[in-house]
Amino acid sequence: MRSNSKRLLLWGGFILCCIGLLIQQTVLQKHLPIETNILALLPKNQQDKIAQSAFEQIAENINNRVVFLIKGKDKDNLVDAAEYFTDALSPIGLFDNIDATISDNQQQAWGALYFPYRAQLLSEEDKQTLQQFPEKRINHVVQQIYNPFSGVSGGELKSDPFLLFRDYLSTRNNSDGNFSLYKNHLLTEVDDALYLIIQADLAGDAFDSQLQSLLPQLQLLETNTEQLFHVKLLHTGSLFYAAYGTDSAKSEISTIGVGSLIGILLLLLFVYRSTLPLVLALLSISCGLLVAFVTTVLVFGEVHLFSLVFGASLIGVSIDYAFHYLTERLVHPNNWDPDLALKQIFNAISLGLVTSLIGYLGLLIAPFPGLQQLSLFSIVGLFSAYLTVVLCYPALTRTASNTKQPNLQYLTKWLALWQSKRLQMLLPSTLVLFACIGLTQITFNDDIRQLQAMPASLKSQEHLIKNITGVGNNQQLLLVKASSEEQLLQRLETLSEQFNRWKMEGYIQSVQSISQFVPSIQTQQTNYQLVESLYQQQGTALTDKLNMSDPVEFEQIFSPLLVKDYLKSSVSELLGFLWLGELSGQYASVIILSDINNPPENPLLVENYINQQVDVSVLDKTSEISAIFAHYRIFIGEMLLATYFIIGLLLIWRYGVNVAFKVLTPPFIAGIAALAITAVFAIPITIFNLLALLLVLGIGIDYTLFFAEQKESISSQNTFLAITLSAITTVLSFGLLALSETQAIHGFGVTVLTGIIIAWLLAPLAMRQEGI
Amino acid sequence: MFNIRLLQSFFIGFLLCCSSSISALSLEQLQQQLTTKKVLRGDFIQSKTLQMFNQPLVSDGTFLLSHQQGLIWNQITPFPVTLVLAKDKLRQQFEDQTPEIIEAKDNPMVFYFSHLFLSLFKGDLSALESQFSMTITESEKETWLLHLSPKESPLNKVFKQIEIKGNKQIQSLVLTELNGDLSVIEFSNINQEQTQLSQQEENAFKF
Repeated sequence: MRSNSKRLLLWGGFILCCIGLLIQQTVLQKHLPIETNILALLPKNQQDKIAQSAFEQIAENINNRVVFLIKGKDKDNLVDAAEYFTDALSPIGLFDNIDATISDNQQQAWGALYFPYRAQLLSEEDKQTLQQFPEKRINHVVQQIYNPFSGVSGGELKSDPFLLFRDYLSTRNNSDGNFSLYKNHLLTEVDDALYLIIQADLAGDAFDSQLQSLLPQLQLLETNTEQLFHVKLLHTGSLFYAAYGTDSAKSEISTIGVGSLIGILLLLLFVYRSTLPLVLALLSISCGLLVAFVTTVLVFGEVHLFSLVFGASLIGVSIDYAFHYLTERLVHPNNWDPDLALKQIFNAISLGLVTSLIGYLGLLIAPFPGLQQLSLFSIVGLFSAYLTVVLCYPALTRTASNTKQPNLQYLTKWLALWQSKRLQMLLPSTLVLFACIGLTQITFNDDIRQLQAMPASLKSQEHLIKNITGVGNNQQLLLVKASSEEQLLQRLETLSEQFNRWKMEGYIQSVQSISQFVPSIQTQQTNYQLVESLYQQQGTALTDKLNMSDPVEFEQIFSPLLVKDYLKSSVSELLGFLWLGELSGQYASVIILSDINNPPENPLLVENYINQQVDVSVLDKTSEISAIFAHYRIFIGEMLLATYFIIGLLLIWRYGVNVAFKVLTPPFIAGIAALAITAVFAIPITIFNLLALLLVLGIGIDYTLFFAEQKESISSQNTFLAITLSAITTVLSFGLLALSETQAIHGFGVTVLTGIIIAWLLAPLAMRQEGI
Repeated sequence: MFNIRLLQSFFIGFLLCCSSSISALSLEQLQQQLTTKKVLRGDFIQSKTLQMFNQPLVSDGTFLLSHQQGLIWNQITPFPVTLVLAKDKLRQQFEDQTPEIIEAKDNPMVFYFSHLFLSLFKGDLSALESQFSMTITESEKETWLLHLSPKESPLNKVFKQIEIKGNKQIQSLVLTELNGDLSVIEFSNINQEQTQLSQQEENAFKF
């Protein structure tokens, strides 16, 4: 008894420490240590560090931007609505930068940036003219001056008598600019409706739950604006998707958590008809979750929402240990000895724990943060629940149970049926046969998007906004690397030249590259020489033709326009992020191609060209992640087989080949049958279904182990009661998981649900056959 | 990652032109007047007085304004050229050369001004209100003067003021730049009677 109390105190002290830590990690922190960004789950791109940081920079820029469109019929009304909206938007604190108006300064910025370098900048067309027929330029200038629409002013002519700068500026400015300026706002007209655009940069990360919590205020403001001005507000941005994901995950966690808790409470009350078992069961579940949470935060600095969702499912596993103990107590009302009871089940629950841990340990070594977190969370959670039972239960249950034993006749009958050799053969082989047929239906899907719930309303808004703003729906990011800034710019120029040719052909909708804004020094020098010789050869002719009071003279001095000059200017706000600068000793930049539409006769024209460039790589996170998922799907598959193998060896060592086979067969059949059923329901198999199989193995083997550990048939009944309770709770929690909106979680739920039912069904196979 | 390029200040000027007059004019009445004329034809003389030229650059020709279609600007001297401005396209054609077409989406700045220009032409003064402060003065000989001073960028970076003068007919348009450079366009022989476009004129608006 004394040692019992000591253990209780020891564990109690530890749990108190954990509660202290939990408070320190949550209540005392500004932000909850809960990560919701799915990408944080994934392994970093190890092969290409530049690609990884490139993606992070680009993603940060894209993720932190939100676009609003105000739709209406009257320009002035739209401007009023925009002013009302933006004025009220800043105090919400969601954004640190709101671009609703284009100030005079911003308008001037393009001119201000390029004007000093005008002799080094030429539009493509002018460059060709200057190379081939420089004399044609004189006529062009004369025509422009007479043309009343061209608006050549005296000032302009003085600083740029050949009118080259205006051509350069207008070509810098021409890509898909559907919008025009009205009262310093950007408006466009599409299908008889007017749209005003507002862009904003988040004050933090799109996945920051603090920021996400401000969304209801934004929603309210949007509704108010819509009602006051009779306009329609559209928005898109990662923020909304992220917030939706967080909300749905949160509500799923609470549904699953609360659902399985209620189920467990009802079960416990029904079976044990007493509050002590209830308290004990809750104690082991909460100790498990508490220690798991605290440890994960200590190790990883945060807990991912996905770990929590899957972690919530631990309730179903960790309760097993409690059930076995409590059932022992229930069936021994007269000769109750808590220490003996623990001894009775100790081997079985310890073996059960070890076998579950074997599976999770494998995941811990995978270089995949999500899996590592999940496995650490599970290992610690299970171990703590186990320790709670072992260390606390005997001290807390000194008195015997005084409730009547439940009626076990149905369970007894089911067990009796298992004495029949025929059933022992028939049921498993039927299931195997069925599973083999079902497995032919299997399809795999490693697309990351099934991890994220994508509500249709957000999708359609995004689509509409992309259409109206003229941005392609499919963008391809190309990472270009070179050893110096100049070489990189030259490469970007060569590539853009090719892409722009294809753009003219209609194979690409738009091309965005920094070289469009900063030519390489080589190009600037070529331009400079062309302009200089234009002045030298044609200057006098122009002076004469226009009868100018002062002769046209070339006075510009070459001074290179550098990327840093561009980045310093406010014009780089929109696309400056494409320049990544120096990364691991190399210079890198990104080219964006929108909506590639290859010609029918060469359906891979653009892709093939890109693949041939050794210094260009495609930043395609979706397919990269899909590849990672595929890789780890296979990895987990192998892990699963290895786990079966190790557990098999362990069982053979303990029980011999015959019993080991009987212990391992039910969870194995449960696994393949669950996979088959999932496939039959047309759910594609992902990494998550394989994780589910790991769980089925871990739980399923608990069931058979307990049978194998029982020496008396009466114990088999008790064991079966405990197993049945455990199976019902697990099914309850995973049944709820199968209702998830997120496809990956839904599939996970279905696999575990069916696997557990079958494992429960077949568990008596492991029963000793000495008769009942 | 939206790529709405900022419209910068870069000055593409424009011209404008209106029509006849009556007394005691308000902006509303003027607008009313201007919008009733569906098709206008006439001659123009443009004179550009720039400090850097020893003498003004003078050109002349004919024009046609259709409220529905747009504007045809037919310069005859010093060299023949035809400019056609429609809603979102601008075409420039020299005698025997292939026409050069600029589309609004390729050069939004040009069309920022030309849209403004067309709305002036069409008498859509309400569209101009946001960009100009406008006053009308009437002199004794049934002549009115519409004075426009630009309120906002980019117009106020280029123009000091724009003045349109008319009596029964529109007479002139004067664009004064900040540095004092002047563009004067004078109109004569205005004909409002022939409201049908000829086949050739119709074709000119087809791009």
